[in-house]
Amino acid sequence: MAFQILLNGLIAGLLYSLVALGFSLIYSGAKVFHIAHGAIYTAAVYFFLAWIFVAGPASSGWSLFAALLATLISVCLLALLFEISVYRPLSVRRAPPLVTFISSLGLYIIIVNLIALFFGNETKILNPNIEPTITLGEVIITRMQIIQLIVSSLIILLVFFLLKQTALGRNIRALSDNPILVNVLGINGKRIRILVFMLGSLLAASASLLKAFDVGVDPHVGLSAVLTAAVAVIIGGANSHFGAVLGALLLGMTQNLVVWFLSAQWQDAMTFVIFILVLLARRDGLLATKLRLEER
Amino acid sequence: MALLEIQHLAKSFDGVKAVDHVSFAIEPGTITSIIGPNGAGKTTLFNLVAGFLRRDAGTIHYKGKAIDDLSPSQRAGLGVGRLWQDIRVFRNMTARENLLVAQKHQPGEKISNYLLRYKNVDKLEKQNREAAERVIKFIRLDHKQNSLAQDLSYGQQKLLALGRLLMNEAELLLLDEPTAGVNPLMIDEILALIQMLVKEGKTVLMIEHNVPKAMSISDWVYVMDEGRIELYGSPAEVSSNPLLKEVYLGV
Amino acid sequence: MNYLLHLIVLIELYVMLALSLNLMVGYTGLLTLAHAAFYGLGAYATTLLMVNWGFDFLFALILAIAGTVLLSFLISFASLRFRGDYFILATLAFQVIVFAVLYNWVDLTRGPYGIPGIPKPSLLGIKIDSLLSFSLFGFVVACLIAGFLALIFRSPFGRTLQAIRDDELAATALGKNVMSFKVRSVAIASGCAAVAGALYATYVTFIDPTSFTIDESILMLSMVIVGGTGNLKGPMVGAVMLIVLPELLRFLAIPDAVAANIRLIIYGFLLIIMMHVRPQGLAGKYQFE
Repeated sequence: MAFQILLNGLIAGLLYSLVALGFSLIYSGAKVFHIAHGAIYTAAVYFFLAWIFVAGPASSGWSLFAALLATLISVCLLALLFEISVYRPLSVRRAPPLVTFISSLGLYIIIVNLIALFFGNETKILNPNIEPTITLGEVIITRMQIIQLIVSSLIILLVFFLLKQTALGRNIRALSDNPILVNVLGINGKRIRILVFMLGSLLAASASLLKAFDVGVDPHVGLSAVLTAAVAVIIGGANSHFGAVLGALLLGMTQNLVVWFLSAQWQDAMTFVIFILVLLARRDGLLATKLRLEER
Repeated sequence: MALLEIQHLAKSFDGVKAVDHVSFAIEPGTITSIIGPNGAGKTTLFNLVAGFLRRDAGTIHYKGKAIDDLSPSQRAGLGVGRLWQDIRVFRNMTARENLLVAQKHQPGEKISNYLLRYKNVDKLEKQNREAAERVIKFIRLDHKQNSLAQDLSYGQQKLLALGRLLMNEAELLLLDEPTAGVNPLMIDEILALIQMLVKEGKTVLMIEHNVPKAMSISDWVYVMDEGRIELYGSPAEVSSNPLLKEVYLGV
Repeated sequence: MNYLLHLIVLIELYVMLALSLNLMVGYTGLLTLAHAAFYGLGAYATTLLMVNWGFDFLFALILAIAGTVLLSFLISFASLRFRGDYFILATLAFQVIVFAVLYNWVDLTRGPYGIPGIPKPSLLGIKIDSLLSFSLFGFVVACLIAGFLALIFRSPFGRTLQAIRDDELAATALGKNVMSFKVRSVAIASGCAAVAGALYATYVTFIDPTSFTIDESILMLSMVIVGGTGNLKGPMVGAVMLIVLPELLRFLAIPDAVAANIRLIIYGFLLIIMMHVRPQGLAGKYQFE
C-alpha cells in the first residue's frame, strides 16, 4: 500500500511539476504572478475537445495527432494574446505588481467563464474506456499512468536541458536575472518574453492534457492547479526552477497521502497548510537565495 | 556622555564583510559625516544602527544603553531617526498628512482611546496640527502643504522627510545622502536646515558623496572603505591627508 | 416593489462588505481574497448559534463577531509576515481552507446540504419578518457599520494605516508598530464582514457553503477596485454598480444558468479595464503602488 501511495504521489507530483515549472519560468522571466496560468491549463483541454470535434472522432491516430498539434498551437496563441493585450502594456508602463496580479485574475475569470458558457460546467471525459493495467507486486499502474510518468519526466528533462545548454535557455536566464540589460546586449527582450509565456503555457497544457486523459476535465480545474503550482514555486524558493519541481513533487506526495487517509476534498486545504508551515519555518522557501533588505 | 557609541560592529553577507569591526562615538549636538567610495558599507552601517539589520558582532549603545535587541520601531521611539537615499515619503498622503502621521505621541492610534476618550484625543490632535503648522513653515513648504507628497519635487520631498523627523522628535538623525540629486540652491537650503536642526539640539550623522559640502558643515569626518574606517578627524585634518585620495581612487 | 427592496437589501449587505474590505485593501494596502471567508464564518456562526442552540439574534451576532475576529488573529499570525504576492496567496489559502471546512465538516455544518430554517431576527421583542422591515433594519445596520468605518478611516489610526500602506519601512522608522496596526485592520474588517454574514443568514433563512466561495471574494474585491479604493464613497459606488449591473442583464432575458457566467465575465473585463485605465477606481482616492 505504501508503494501505491508513493507511485500515485510521484505521478501526481510530476504532473504538478510541469505546471509549476511553467509558472516558475513566467514568474522569473516576465516577473508576472500569472494566475491566468490556470486558465491556459484549463483551456488547453477544451481546445483539444474542440479540435477533435473538428478533426473527426478520435479513433484514428492521425486525427488525434492533428488535434494535439492544433491544441498546442492554440495554447501558444492564447498565451501570445495575454502577453500582447494585457501583460506587455502594463510592463511598459511599469505598473505595480498588484495591478498586474489583478489583471491576471481578470483574465482567468474571463477565460474560465467563457469555457463554462460554451461547454457547460460538467466534467467531460476524454477517454471513456477502462485503462489496461499492469500489476507489479502489490502496486497497480494503468497504461495512462505509465504514459504520464514517462512523458512528464521527458518534458521536465527536456526543459532543463533547454535552459542549461541552449542559446534560448541562456537568454531566458538572462531575462530572469536582468531584464534591462538584456536589451542592451542586443537580445530581443520582447521576443524572449513571448517565448517564455509560450513555453510556460505549453508546459501547463501538457500537464492538463495528460491529466484529462486520465480523469477528465471541468472548467474549474485550473485554479487548483495554478495554486498548487504557485505554492510549489514559493516553497521551493521563488528563484529556483529546480526548487519548483521539488516543491511540486512534495505536494504531489502529500496530497496523495491526504486522499488516502482523509478524503479528496481536503487536498487543496492540505496544500495550503503545507504552504503556511513551510513559510513559517523558512521565510524564503526551501531553496531560495537571500534577497537584499530593500528587495523584500 | 556620547549619544551613540558603536564598538566592533560587524556584518557580513555571504562571506563579504560589509561592515568590518567598526568603532566610533558621536557626541550630542554635533554633525558627523561618513564619506567613502560606493560599496564601502555606509548604508549597511546605518541599517545596523537603525535596527533594520542584525549585527554579527559588536554592540551599539544609544544614550548609554545597549540597543542591540531593540526593533527599528523601538529605536525610533528612543529618538533614532532615519532619512533614506530614496527618501520614502508617504506618496499618497499630502505633505501636511505626512507630518501629522509622524507625530510621536498619538493616543488616537489606539482605537479604544479614539472612541471612548475622544476629548483627550481631540485635544492632542489639535496640538499635533499646530506643531505641523510650525514645522511646515520651518521647512518652507507651507505653500505645498495640501499637495500629495508624490507631486513634490525631489528636493521638496527631502525637506518633507526632514520635517517628519522633527515631528517624530528624533534626536539622532541618520541622514543618507541628504544632498544627492538636488540642484545647488536646494543643497544649500538642506544644509542650512540641517545646521538649524543641530542648533535646536539634534545630532546629525550623515553619509555624503558631496565631500566639500559635507566637510563645510561637519564637526567630524569618518572615511570608510571596504567596511572599515580608514581615516578620521576634523574636516581640515581629513581633507589635507593624502590617504583620502587613495581611498577614493583606489590607488 | 419586492424586487426593489430585495436589491436594496443586497446593496446594504455589500456596502458593509465593500467598505470593510476597503479598510484592508485601500487603507492598509493588504490585498485579500479571503473576505468571503469572514462573511461565511459570520453567517455560519450566527446560524449555528440560533438554529442549534436557540440563541437569540443579538447574542448570536455578538458571539459570531467575536469568533470571527478571533479567527482573524489566526490568519494574521500566519500570513502578515509575508510580503506582497505571498500574502495574497496566504489569504487565498485561508479562503480555500475555510470553504473546505464548511463543505466537509458535515457533522457540524451539514456540508453541501446547507442549513435551512434560520429564524428571522427579533430585537427587543419585535420580529423583523417582512421584506420592508428587513430592508429598514438592514439600512440601520449598514449605516452603523458605515459610520463606524468612516470614523476609523478619519482617525489617527486610519491615518497611520495609510502611512503603512504607502511605505512600511518608513512607518517603522517613525516608531509605528506595523504588525499591530495590520492585525487590528484585519480584525475590524473581519468583524464587519461577520455582521454582514449574520444579516445575510437571517435574510435568506437558508445558507450553504456555495455562497462563500472564492468567486464571492472576487466579487467584493471587484466592487472595491472598480468603485474606488482609499476613501468612503468609492466602495459604495462599487457596491451599487456591481449589484445593479447584473440585474440589468435580467431584462435582456438571459437564462439564469448562463447569467452567472456572463456576470463573472463582465467582472473580469471590469477588473482588467480598470487596471489599465483607472487604477484608483471610478470614485476612489488611492492608486495601487
